[in-house]
Amino acid sequence: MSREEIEKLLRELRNRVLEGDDEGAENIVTRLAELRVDPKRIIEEALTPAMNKAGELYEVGEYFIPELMMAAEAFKAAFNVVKPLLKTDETGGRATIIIGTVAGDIHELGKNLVATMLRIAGYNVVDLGVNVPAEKFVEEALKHGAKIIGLSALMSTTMVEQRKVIEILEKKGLRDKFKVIVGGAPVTEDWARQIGADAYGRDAFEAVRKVRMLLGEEGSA
Amino acid sequence: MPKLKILPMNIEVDVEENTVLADAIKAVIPEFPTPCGGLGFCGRCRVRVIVDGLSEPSGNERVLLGGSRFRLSCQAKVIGDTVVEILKPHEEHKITVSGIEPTIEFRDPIIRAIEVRLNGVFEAPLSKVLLEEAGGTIHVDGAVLKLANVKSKNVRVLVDWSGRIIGLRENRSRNLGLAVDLGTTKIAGYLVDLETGESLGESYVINPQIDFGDDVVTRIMRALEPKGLIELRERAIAGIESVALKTCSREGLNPKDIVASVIVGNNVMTNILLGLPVETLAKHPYQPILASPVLLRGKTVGFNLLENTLIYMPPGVAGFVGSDAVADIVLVWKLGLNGKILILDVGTNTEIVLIEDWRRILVTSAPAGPAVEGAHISIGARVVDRAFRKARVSSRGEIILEPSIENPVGLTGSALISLLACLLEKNYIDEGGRIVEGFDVDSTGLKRITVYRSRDGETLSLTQLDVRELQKAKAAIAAGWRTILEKAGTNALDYVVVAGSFGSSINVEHAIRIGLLPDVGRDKVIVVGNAAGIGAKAIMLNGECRRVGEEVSRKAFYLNLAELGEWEKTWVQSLFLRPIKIS
Repeated sequence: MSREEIEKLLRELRNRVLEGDDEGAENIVTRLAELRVDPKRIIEEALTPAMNKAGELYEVGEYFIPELMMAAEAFKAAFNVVKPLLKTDETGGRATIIIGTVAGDIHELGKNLVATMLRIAGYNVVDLGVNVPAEKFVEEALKHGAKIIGLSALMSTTMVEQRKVIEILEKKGLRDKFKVIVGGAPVTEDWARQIGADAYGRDAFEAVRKVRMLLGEEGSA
Repeated sequence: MPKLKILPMNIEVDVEENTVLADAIKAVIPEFPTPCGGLGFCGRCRVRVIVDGLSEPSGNERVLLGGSRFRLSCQAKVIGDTVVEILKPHEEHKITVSGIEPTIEFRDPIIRAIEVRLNGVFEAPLSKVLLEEAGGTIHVDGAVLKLANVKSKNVRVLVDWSGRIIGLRENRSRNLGLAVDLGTTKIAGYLVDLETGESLGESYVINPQIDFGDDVVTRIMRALEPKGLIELRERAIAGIESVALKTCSREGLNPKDIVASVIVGNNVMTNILLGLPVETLAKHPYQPILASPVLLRGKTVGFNLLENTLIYMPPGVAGFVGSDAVADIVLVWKLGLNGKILILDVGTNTEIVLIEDWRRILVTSAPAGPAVEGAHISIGARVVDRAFRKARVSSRGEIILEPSIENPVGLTGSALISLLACLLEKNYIDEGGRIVEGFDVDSTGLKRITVYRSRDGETLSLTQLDVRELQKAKAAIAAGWRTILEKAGTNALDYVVVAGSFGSSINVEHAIRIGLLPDVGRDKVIVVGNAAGIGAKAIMLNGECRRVGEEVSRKAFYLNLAELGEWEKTWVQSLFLRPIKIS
């Protein structure tokens, strides 16, 4: 198979993911794997750029939540084919992030999107699900040696739970051990500052950028 | 162009097709009355149809006029040649303009005033005389224990509906009642004469709590702060007293004569008014301390001006759904609607009620957010001053914003909803909400559609991100009613009732087009206006309405959307701007 043809397939894969065609993406990625194309290259040249592009389109409203969810699904389908082919030193190594929706709140859509985007960005994400008690975030963060705790709250009434997690960290003398990033529809930059969070992510893409900043990886791909 | 003939003046004019009949009549007869502003509430613009070239009747006409030859000219559009006769307005007393008001019989009101003649000498203890004359029991209360102060020959004894004597009044004083809708944004007051049941006027003030935030949730957050609850309560009291003053002074009446008041509101508002902590509403499972009916003396609530007023607060349901929703339901009952009825009280927090043959009642509330009221949209306007309130596509295919104003500040929430429908009609956006190619794109890639350009070049543009915000708000409301219909296993509706002051100005066809309201056909949609306030008035004047309210509160089943995992999926599906068919 010629170089051009492989490049064409990679471009095609990128488009399939961007368009949210999970079957199409899976087919092409399987083909690429059969052709023994380096899985790292598939990720770097097709999958990651596709999601970055989806993120850019989302930020200006060109893409909306349904398109984004479909793209993330297509990414996952393709990634699952590539993942077993990666060498171990290529799968892990990056920081662990604990994420979940706070107690009293069972919204998962936004949190799931953030988790997906963080995984796409290469982080090791531990998703605690929804309605997670404040103590649990701290316990799990300690257990997994996480660097970052991500707290999602989709109701202004449950936002107070984000503050609670920070208070527990302070009380236990663990505040310096973890960076806390908050998000969710009612959450604002102001609120994040008010409760002493380290960062606020307006959407899944900004969350990834802020995580990079918190980890001092700003500027890295 | 269709011809319109107006009798008895015998004026004939050519009108553009689809012109609202009231607008066509007003163009030649400027004094033609439309007191409610053409919202289909008051029925004063009624005309008799001689030759029918008009559009199909709206739900409001069905309810207000029945199946007669009359039409509401604010609802009917001229399609073909038409002849109508203007009716001489029979002088009615004050008419309600903020919503549809059914006939409310003055029967078993909240308080009765019974005249008792005393000739100075009484042959039995005074209390006994009063009891016999008024047929009640003495309620231990400061006002009544002042029996010794009765000096005049004739007094009026105030007896509440359960027969308790709750006060004495000088014979010549008036006895007024004030129904109050304590809304998160507006506080509306309806003044009635408690001796005749007559309406005396209405007015509203902006809820003074608004400085602390736009929606119920920001109020809860405030209440959690030190002294927050006290401040909020004081402002609720001040707001209600100022609406009492405003309504009375407009009619030259004394607010001290308000002997009874019925106050409704969502559970956050009513609990705050009673000084009850609201933090339980801030966390799972989001329940208030109080949703039962209460009957208190004004002083106990903390009122000054209304300290002697008997305050009745009807029961709420559960969660955020309070007595305002109960009052909505009472009004719908009083309108005589039957079958499967969906009520949407549209606002930042949208209450949703499904009534099935008055046997089962499901209620919920959906967090639409302030975008539906024009907030957080770059060209949105929260106030109606200098704002466009309507949008439509003209017969020449242009998008027209109305009314025509100088230096417009933006569009109201209802105009924004109409605008989305117009942009869809013009194929400027697709059903996914994406602005099509060909419009201005700024350096960040953000598209915008210019929807207004003034003579001196000022423009108003809707950005792609604005469209997205509106889609999210619309989806929250639509997902709310879709979920409740699904839970009930109902896929047919007889009526869709749109309540609330925001809902009053909504264009029904446009709201159906984008899927905000279910696609049931124009004749099944009734826009009722401030149903909560008028429902509260019905509860004050009519014992049956009061009992229906209490029964509704017991019977209603509360669904918490936030607890239903599938709600988010329905929300995503509802982001699309397309009609949702319900038979």
